[in-house]
Amino acid sequence: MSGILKFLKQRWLPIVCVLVVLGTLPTAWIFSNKWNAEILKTAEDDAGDKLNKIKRARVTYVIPSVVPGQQDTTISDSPNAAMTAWVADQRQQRVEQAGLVMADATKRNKAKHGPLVQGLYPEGPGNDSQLKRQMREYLELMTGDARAGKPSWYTRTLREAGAGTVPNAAELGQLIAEQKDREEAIASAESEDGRVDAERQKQIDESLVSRRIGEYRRHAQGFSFYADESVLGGHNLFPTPSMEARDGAQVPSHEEGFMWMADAWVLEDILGAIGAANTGVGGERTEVELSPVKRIVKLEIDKLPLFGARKGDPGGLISRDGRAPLDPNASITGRVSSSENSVYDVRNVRLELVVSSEKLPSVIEAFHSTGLMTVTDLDLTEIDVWDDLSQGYAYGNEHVVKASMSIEIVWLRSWTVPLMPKTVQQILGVNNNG
Amino acid sequence: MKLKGVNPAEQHVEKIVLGVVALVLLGVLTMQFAIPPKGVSVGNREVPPDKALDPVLDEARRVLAKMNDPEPARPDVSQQELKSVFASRIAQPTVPAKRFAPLGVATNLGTFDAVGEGTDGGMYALPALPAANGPIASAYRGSVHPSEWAASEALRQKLGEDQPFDLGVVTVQAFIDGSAIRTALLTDADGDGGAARPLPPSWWRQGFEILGVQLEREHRMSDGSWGERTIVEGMPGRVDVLGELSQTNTNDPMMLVEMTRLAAAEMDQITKPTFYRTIAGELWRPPAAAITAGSSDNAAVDRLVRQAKALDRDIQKLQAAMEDDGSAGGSTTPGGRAPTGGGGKGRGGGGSSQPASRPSTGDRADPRVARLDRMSEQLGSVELELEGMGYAIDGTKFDTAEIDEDVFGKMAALFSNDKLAMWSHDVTVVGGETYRYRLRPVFNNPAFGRQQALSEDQQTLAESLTFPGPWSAWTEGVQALDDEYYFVVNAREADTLGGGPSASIELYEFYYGYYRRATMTAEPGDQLYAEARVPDGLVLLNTENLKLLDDAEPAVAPPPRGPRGVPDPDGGRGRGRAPGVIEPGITTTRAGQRPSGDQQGEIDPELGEPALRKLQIRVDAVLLDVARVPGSGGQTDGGLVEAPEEFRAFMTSGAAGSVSIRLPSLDEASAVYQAVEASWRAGQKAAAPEPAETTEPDNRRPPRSDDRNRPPTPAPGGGGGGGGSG
Repeated sequence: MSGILKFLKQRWLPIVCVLVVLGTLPTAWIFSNKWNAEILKTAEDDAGDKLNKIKRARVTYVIPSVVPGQQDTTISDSPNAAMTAWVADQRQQRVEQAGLVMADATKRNKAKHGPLVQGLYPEGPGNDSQLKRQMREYLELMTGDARAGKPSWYTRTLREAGAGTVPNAAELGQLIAEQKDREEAIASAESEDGRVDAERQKQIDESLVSRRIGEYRRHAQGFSFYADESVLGGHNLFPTPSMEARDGAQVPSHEEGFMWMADAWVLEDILGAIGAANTGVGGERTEVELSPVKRIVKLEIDKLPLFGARKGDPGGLISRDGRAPLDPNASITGRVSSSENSVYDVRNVRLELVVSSEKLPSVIEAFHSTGLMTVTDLDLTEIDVWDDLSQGYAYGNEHVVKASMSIEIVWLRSWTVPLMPKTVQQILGVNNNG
Repeated sequence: MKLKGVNPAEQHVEKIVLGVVALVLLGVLTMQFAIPPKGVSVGNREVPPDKALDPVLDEARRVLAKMNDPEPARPDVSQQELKSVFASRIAQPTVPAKRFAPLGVATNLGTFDAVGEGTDGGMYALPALPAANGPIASAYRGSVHPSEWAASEALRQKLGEDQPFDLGVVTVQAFIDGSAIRTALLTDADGDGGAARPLPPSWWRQGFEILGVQLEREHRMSDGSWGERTIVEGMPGRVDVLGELSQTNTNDPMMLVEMTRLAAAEMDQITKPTFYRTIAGELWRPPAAAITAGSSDNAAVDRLVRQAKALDRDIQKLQAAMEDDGSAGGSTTPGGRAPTGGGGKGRGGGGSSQPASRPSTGDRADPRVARLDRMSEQLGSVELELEGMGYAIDGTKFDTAEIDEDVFGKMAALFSNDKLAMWSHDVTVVGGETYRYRLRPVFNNPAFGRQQALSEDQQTLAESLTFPGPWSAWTEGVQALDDEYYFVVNAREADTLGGGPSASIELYEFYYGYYRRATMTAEPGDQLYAEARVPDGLVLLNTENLKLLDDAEPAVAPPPRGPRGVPDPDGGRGRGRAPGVIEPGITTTRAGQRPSGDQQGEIDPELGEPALRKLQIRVDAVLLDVARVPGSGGQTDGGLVEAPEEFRAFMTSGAAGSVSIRLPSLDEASAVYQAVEASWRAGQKAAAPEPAETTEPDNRRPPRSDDRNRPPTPAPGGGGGGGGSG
């Protein structure tokens, strides 16, 4: 031990130098590897970041589908001017198509609906007295003037649609009575004792019945279905036939008049559908005995839905993507008016008709093919044909039933809003969705 | 000099250290330059550190290229025609049926005499209805399907019990203007000032329908005149409203109302009754289609069709000759005609005219092979030229997918149809006889039962249930197809070698959908008799096991009956017939054969029994003699051309022994021969199993130049044009 120490003491300098030299080598190795790794990582991260940035330079083109049930077309790729132009063109085409369909639907939905009095809607004359005067004329138009023999707008519209009424009972009664007298006179003249025997009287009665039925049926050849104003019902905004325009009589407000007009359009839609059903193969209106719809028993129109200026409404219906929200609890179609629905308004009508049971499909089809109407409910009940016949309703030789229908009419706001006064728009919440 | 006290290690330690360090240096240098440096991973690529940005550059260049691409790949975006989708959905009916069955018993209010209308004893003028125009007639022969036989007692009585139920018919077709009928009903025939008024619209608005199409026939007598005028009976087993009315003795107007409603619902079957479903043979076609198929108004088409037939015949003769000589090593296609391949215009690339299969020969020097190729190529060219003109090689015009109004008229209700097609069948014709026809629609009588509304002079107007329209003009004469024929195709006089006169005769007899042919060489005194081979696999069905086919398609599918007056958009004609489904699980082909794969001759007894394999054809005719046609042969054109000699055969036939002269050239050129021979050929082709193909000919696209896909030849029709004077 002392020898080693002595050896180390005597040669400490070269030993230290050798140790330093030899120790430097692995130390340098370790440190250089570490630095190398750091440099590589830095370079890799830097290059990776740059690469990711380039790869993220993409855009997503969306070509929306306008056909229900078909998916939108989504393209995620690098931006490209030609592709951008092409996508824009595709979108424009779809917008145009949607526009065409909207125009078509609007035209179909609007049909011949328009202001019943020109210059009154959407905004009437600015002058109050002039407005009042026009509203009075409007009232006269709608209610008619019995004293002057002017029928109401409803009566005129029903007649133009092919509606008629039962024959005048008094006149017919007079006719039958005259025939009865005639035949009894002939029978008594022909009999030996100047009396009419029971059998002959029975024959006379039968011929009178036939004559009466014949008169009912002949009368029914002159129109397409039975209906008059008495079948029209509705709500308190509907002018009743008893209202007459008199000096000092209450003249409806501008807004109230619009509601009348809206109800009148509903009536036009319903009568249009009935007219379509009652059109024969030659394009002619059929007479009652051949018509699928033989009589309107009752027609009730629900109020125009009013929401006011508040947003939101009961039920929590929310519009997504600007589309009208649907409420499956409302009806089988789910369509419902709401403050979130800026696309259309829904009018509901309850209708009771006497129809030919065999031709019922054509009646339903007529409603579906007129405007944008849907039959949402249908109940059929038997009726006593002979009872109706005794009242003058001659339906012919077909089997008939009473059809109680619920009709849903959709009015697109694309054509109704331009006719609405601003106040009505506010009442209906038209401007709620901006 | 070694130092005292210094060991060798101490003496050389600096060298040792230097060596170690040198080794390390060497190692470092090796690692630096010989061993590749560790790379970096950039975008799933391993690259050297100094090239770490290369992937980035590449990606950037790629993205830039995509951004600058003037024609980027566009996705396949479906064209959306929203408006048409909207229109089609709006137009779609909501309710599947136009009418329901009444939900209860209808009220019977009877008719009534409207007071004030028609009760004043005024005169009413019956409308001057227009006559049907353009009457034409065509003959057809087919084998009625046993299911039709089973479904109708009247048809069973007519056809008897023995299968096959071969039946000949003449169909007469015309068109009528329904809108003119309506105008006639509304028109005051004698003017506003006249005494008579038109019938009140209320009398006919409840229904004015065609109850039936009545056919009247005249027979060509032996002296050439027309006689034996008769009203043709209705077709057994079909809707016969007129027949039912004629058996009704009633004054009940409701009966007429009900029959009118039935007529309205069955308008298509009344005006265009389908022929019976057939078990084999060419499909029946309406006369307007059959006549068009058999002819064309284009002289060029006729010329090409004749040329094609001549080439076809020559090819067959040459192939037969080569086969006989044994120089044909391969096989020809069934039917004998070498199919042609491409060549000519319209074929992609204008390929060579190599036929799909042709007789191969070990001797390539045989000039007949080259001649066969040439003829095949010519035939292919002719076929292509015809296709370009819209005709098949047999002269058939290609069908379109649309309903042919020239054949089936317009699909609309009576009053709104200015071209209502109607036809009627005469199944009482005698084969071989010539007839001419005229037809008229029969309507319900609007004045029936309205005695009280008519004046005394017109009371008879109210008696009849029906109101017939005027007769059309007579058709041209049409010969009903006979059951059997014979044609003299060759005749030879006695030659110098001692052989006697003889004639080559083709005998045809109709059996199971087609004419079957037998040939014989007759000598004077020989009765015409030969045995024809019938293709295997034909079945005479077991009628006891037949079930009525609920969805049996008619023999020809005219525009299907959709809602009255509304053409069925999915309809189309000429769909032919579906494979006859006799029983579930058993399918037969058109010819009644079992699907291929079954052994020949094995017929399930439940299905039926095999039909005849050999048909004995015996014609009541005897060859008397053969003689040269005077003036034939010799030299013409100054002796430069040798004209062929012609020989004619003298035949006697019938109990009366009438003598007729038959000239082969005339016999072969006759329309009857063309039709009968074509039927025979079609029967031969139908014998070849076609299990995978439908039985309908597809005429809607030009067929390939291949025998298998050729549309069948048209039904034999002895067509008669219309327009003859009444």
